[in-house]
Parts: sequence; C-alpha cells; structure tokens
Amino acid sequence: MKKKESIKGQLRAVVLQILTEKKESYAYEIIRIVKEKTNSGILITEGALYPVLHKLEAEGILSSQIKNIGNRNRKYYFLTEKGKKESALHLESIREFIRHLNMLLNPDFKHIYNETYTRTN
Amino acid sequence: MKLTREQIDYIFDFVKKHYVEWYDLQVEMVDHLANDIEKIMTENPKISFENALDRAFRKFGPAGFMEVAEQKMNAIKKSYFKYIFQEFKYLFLSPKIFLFLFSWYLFYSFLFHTSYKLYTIVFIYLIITVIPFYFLVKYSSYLRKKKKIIKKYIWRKAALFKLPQSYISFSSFNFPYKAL
Repeated sequence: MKKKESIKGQLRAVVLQILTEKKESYAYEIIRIVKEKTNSGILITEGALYPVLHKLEAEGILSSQIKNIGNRNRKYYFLTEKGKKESALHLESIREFIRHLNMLLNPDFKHIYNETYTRTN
Repeated sequence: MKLTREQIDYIFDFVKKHYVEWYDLQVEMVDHLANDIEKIMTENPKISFENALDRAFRKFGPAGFMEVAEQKMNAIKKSYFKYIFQEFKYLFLSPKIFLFLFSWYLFYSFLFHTSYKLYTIVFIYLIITVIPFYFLVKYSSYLRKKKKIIKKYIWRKAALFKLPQSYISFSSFNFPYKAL
C-alpha cells in the first residue's frame, strides 16, 4: 500500500492533534510520538514534517519559541489562539471524512456504526 | 548518552557547510541531528560520533537540508505577500485616501489664489524630499546597530520589500521569536 503518500496528506492533522494534546512540542518529539502511538506503523520522514511545521507557522496557526536545553537550543512549536480554533475545525472535518471513508471501505462498518450510534442516543 | 558542547559546535559547522545560512533553521536542524545522534549512540554504543552524524544526516535524503530550506522560504514568501496585500487593502479602503485627496485639493486651490506660486512649490518640494530622507538615514543607522546583535534569519531573507516600517507598517506582523 502507498502508506507514505496517504500520511503525507494528513500530516497537518497529525501535527495539530499532537499539539492540541501536548501544548508545546518540537519536531523530533512529534516524529517519536507518531512512531510510538502507531507501533511503528507510521514513520514520518524528516523531509516531510519540517515543511508542514513551517507552513503552519507562516499561516499563523503555530508559533514558536527557542529555548535553551543544557547544551543546545531547541525550537518549540505551540498553537496560537487562531490556531486553536482552526485546528478544532480541521480535526473535526478529518474525523468525519475518515468515518465516511470507513463506511465505503468496509461494508460492515456502516451497520456497526449505526447500531452504536442509535444505542448511545 | 549526552553530546558535549564541542560535538554540538561540530554539528553547527556541519549544518552551515550544507548551505543552511539562517540561524533559526540552523538551530532546528542541529537539535534534530543531535537528538538522532544521541538515539543512535545509545542503541549502538560502539558507533563513532562521525558515523552517527552521517547516518542521521542521510535520513534527510539526497537533497539534504535544501528541500526543507526551500519550502520554508516559499511558505514565508507567501505569508509576506498576504501581509502586503492586507496593507494595500487597508490603505485604499480607509479614510486615509480621502484625507490625501482632500489635502491635494487644498494645496491646488491655495496655489491658484496665492501670488507666491514658485516659493510655495519649492517649499513643499523640500518638505517632501527632506523628511523621508531624514527618516531613511535614521532608520539605516538603527539597522546597522541592530545587525550586530541579531543574526541572520530566514524571515529577513524572504522579505520582498525591505522598506522602513514608517512607510508600510506590518501592523499585524509580530516577529515570531520571543526568547533568544
């Protein structure tokens, strides 16, 4: 499967989700978190993550701060006020898309989803 | 396994040699390589520092840092265009433009009635040329002082028009680095 291409498109959502949970983080940590959470199922490459972070920063969704950590400086990214609102919207639309994709890809899913949905409501 | 100060300096030189001129990007790349080297060396204590660095750098692919730098530059250029467009929109849709037209109207009507036409024109001309020149000189000396303190940032490199802030104010633009 072309996993590499599918994750590249959704990297934005992954970064936003991690920064919503962690308040602030740096690039290497984001790569590590993704690797840990997916049991090495998804490995982000360096060349793919940095452009996404820089783009989000230029758009004003992220902001950054350079902090000294002992022997070197490290650049931490965090969500701005504008970014918090936009990331919530973006993540919600992605989740909805994945739900619909699931309905299309596994025929049982719609049945299960509807059942749980009606039960909880 | 923690890297020493000398090793960090070595990585800094390494990043500079690979055509990353900008301090903010250098910091990011150095931190990334250092993290990776520390991880490689804890997993495999026999490996030398140089080999670990080589292995960490190879993960960036054949283009090295060039691709990262290029894409960052594009992102910043795009945001600068947006700021400039915003300022232009603000300038032409605000009451300022009417104030400007009204002052020109006053000026011409004054010229029409006064008998010292030449003097008025020369006086106005002097004001228009001298005042901006004064601010330009002041601003450039301010920049020269500042240049010694602040290192090169990719943000500055990507600026399309390096005009004094008194001419076009990037009011919505905050310099993103608070702690240095």
